Amino acid sequence: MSLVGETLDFVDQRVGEREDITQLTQDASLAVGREPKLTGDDLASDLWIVVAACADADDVNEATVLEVAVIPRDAFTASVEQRVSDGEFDDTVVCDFDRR
Amino acid sequence: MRPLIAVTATTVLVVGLGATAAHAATTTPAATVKTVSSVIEKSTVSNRYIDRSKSISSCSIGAAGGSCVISRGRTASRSIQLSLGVTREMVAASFGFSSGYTVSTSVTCTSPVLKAGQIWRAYAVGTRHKYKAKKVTMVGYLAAKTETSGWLYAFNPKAADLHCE
Repeated sequence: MSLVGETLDFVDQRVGEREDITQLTQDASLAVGREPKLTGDDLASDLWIVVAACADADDVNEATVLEVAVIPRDAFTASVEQRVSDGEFDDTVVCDFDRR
Repeated sequence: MRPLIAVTATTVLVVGLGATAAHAATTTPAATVKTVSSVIEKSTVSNRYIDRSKSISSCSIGAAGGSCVISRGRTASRSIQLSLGVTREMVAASFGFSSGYTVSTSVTCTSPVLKAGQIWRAYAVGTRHKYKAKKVTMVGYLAAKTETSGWLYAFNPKAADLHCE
């Protein structure tokens, strides 16, 4: 599973209508010098990009907990994308759950 | 219709001094012992009780700090204390809710801006009730013994409500 670089809309489509999965969405805007403004209304938006993700299963279809960290789409510049690839945003998710 | 009382019965031989069981079987009528349990003194303690005994979901803020949204499905537990032969089904029926053990919720909770390492927790919200259990032990038609419990509590989570802090 790799949700990094995808939008929250993409995540929403992957998780779909499932009620048996908890989603934790961290707004990591501070890492790119922005004020956190994410709300529950943004969870299916294409204006937010995932910079880190983890789940309690390798296959998100089998996961019961999914955690993603996001930043505003217009902050996802080429240099930020490189920083994401270099792992600089890996610690924006905590993943404090037991793996299945 | 679900039963609101529980009745158990056994038959015993009452044998007098100097008599044998065989002799008693032909001359002494058997006495049935039964117990009747029921739910009494019901009341609602709170219509919006926050069950802080355990969080049903939590988000630990990442290294950059920021906010967190908890969304989608979580499971809250329906708890019912029992005593004196009262069953879970009896208590649930007397208060008018399901006797099932869990309730699914899908309310979204958005945290304020928090520091790295701080935790945003979600708790179930629901109605909290209290009641007493009563058990009467009958020997034949006589109430030989009556027992009443102390206050017992039941928590019924709401599917469309959540408290986060």
